[in-house]
Amino acid sequence: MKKSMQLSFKDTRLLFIFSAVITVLIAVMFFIEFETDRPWKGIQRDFVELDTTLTEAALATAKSLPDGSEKDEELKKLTKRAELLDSAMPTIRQTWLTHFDTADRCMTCHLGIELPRFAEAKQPFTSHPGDHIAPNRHGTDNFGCVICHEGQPVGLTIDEAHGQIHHNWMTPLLSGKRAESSCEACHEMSSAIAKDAVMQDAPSFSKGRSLYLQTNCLGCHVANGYERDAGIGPILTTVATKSDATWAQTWIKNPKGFLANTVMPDFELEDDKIKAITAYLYSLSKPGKAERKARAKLDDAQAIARGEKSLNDLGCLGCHSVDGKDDGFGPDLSRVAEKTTPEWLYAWIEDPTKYWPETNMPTLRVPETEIQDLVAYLSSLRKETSQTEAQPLNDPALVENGKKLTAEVGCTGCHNIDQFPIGYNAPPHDGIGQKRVDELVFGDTTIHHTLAEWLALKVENPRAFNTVEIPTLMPNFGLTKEESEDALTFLLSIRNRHNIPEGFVKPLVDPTAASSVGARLIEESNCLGCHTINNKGGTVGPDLSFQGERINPQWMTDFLINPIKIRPEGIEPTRMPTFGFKTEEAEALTAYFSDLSKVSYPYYQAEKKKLSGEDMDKAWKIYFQTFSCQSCHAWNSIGGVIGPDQSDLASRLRADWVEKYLADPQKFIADVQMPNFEMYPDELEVLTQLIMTFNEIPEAVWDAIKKRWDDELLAKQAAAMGDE
Amino acid sequence: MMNSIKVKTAGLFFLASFITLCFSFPVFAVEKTEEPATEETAPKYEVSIELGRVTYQHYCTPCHGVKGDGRGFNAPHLLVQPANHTDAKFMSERNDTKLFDTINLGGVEVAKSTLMPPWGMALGDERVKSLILHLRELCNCQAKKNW
Repeated sequence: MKKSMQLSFKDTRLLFIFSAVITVLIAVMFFIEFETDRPWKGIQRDFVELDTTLTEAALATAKSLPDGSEKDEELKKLTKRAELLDSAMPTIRQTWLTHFDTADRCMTCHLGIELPRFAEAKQPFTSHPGDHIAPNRHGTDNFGCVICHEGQPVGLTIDEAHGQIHHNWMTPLLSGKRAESSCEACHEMSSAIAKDAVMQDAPSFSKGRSLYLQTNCLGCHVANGYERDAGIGPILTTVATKSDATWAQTWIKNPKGFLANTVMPDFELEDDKIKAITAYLYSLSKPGKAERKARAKLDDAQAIARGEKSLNDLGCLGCHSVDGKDDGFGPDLSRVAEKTTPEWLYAWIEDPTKYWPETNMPTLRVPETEIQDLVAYLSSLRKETSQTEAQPLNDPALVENGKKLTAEVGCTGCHNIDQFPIGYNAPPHDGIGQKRVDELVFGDTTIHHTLAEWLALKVENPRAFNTVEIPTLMPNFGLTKEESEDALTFLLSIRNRHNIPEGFVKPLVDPTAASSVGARLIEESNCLGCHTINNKGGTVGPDLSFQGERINPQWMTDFLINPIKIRPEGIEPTRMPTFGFKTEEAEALTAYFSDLSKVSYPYYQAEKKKLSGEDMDKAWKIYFQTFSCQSCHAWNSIGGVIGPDQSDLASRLRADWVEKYLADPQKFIADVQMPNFEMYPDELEVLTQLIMTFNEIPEAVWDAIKKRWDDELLAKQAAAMGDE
Repeated sequence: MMNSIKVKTAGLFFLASFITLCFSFPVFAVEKTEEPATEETAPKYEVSIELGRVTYQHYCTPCHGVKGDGRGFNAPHLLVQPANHTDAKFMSERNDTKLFDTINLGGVEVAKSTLMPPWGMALGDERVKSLILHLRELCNCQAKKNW
């Protein structure tokens, strides 16, 4: 028994080797377990190390603080943190997002996300930029990370969690500004009135949205929640009266060569196709005849100079440029005479809606001589004078082929052409932000197979995925890298909304409210080209920021529909052009201005206070003598002609604003020719009440009062002359 | 009894004089916040004849005329005719202080018509002084005697 129990030397050695191998194996497995299969543990260890150094540094600074309760508190806090770090054990940090029914483990690695002291740290420890995850906004307890950033929230390795490259996860991580595309899911941000707020929190989304609308993507693609425009490009049915066919061909070939920032994209068409399309378009109408009215003042140096001044005074430069930069809302005008005739220019300035009913260009209401000056000036800017003889394009086969091509390449997406309905049927954009990767064609490209990468390249170079089997017709919009990224952010935001729990849908504004419609009109009509709103915009017209509290809403609506002259003559005649707003559009704009000034709309009832006899006398004295208002303002056309006629002030202005304005006119309109009379509050009150009742005063009464004060003024003057 | 009243009166007197003394000391009386506030409103404009010309064209020409001859487009509507600034005799009788007062505080301050409003608050000293430089340019004259 004893012998059999005893192990031989050989056996012991074997056992030793065996156990050593086992130990090493276990060690290796442990190592693999710890370092590779559970990378988050290593990351957490790095975090503890980093935070320990940060805490030590903070402790050192705290010790050098002046003695006091603040120092003690700080030291106590830091010591506690150091103790916690000492005893830290690796754990998976998981948040259960009750409302969204999802687990979120992102903060297992992104440990510094809520700690401001990690703002400078490298990823994955960097703290979140801005205050987006503040508890009162999108606290991580309720939202986690996944709600905005997508990804696979239970993944514990980079590949799995981010799902961007190897795993082709259906909803890969949206990092950086791409995360802005998620805001739209809960917050209605598409309406223009939210623009300022959106611009601040989601600048890339905001720019992308503008780009999407400006380049009229909707002309060819439909998207949920957006309406197709009634033709963003000019009408082409009557194009022969505007330009000649040779110019048209060079234009289609390279639009940006003529106008640097035109919306018209490059269709990359062959010359014979361009020729066919031109042939078709020019078969629809005939060129106009030369007219004396339009050519009367061409090459007249004085007329050219007057035209240049007019262009400035009328506010044309609010939308257009003439320096060739083409950076305005409307096209650059330096080469306009190269593409069109003086006759067309004349007719266009006179009434743009006659040629193109949907145009954004307003009617300027200028007399014939001024139009002639403008035409003379614009014609003088022309640089190229030589024009090649137009080739005959009236071959019926060519025209027929052109008609087919016109519909095929998508001209009708933006232009009204003869019988064609507006719009083109490209693949819809509904839910494009959720499109599955297996629905996309990547062609011969080598990009990562994710939706975001696909969209980014598609926007930048629409024909990048073209193969012989699957050609694309989408034209090139010539977007810059940055613009493409913004457009991508917007496209990713077009998702089919669902699964948003109740109470989480919080539109920034009511998109159907009249004021939202007004805000869109402000953008579409480029009001900021001439006017300022909240320190942004042009200076040709008056500041619009406070018009809501200034103007009676009914008057504003009427004015927007049909702008009238307010000041009688001399100073700054009202040059507001007619935009052809419909009543509901004008009302929407008025609602927008009311919103801007935080006054109620549409109900405004002027508060009418009766002045006592004594106050009335005081008010009349202030009006006619103390401040002599009649020297600049008329009543029923009698009196000064510098300021506006005051006989019906009550229908135009709000009484409370008048009182504020009289106290300090320059506060509202910096360069107004109305002095600051330093009125006392009681003077302000009675004067305001008096002038707001001017529409109720009978003419005989006015005349009698005026005569009384006029006589007194003359008597005083005579006395003063005597003294001298 | 008389004594105690005397003491009370004397006490009140000393108390009152102490308070008065306190306020007469600049340390107690001056409100320190006022001085930096005036420094903040630094002048927006610098006095120059060019500024005078621009200001004149914008604010004065409606009544006094583009040429300064008192024939502005608003002049026919006024009971008392505006001054002719090109009249050397008329203008040389007014020194710069008087011109300043007229523009700043209005016609009524210099015993003239109330139709000339006070421009001081709206324009500020710099622009009013610039206007005087331009007025001297318009009449091509100087005041006969300054003060």
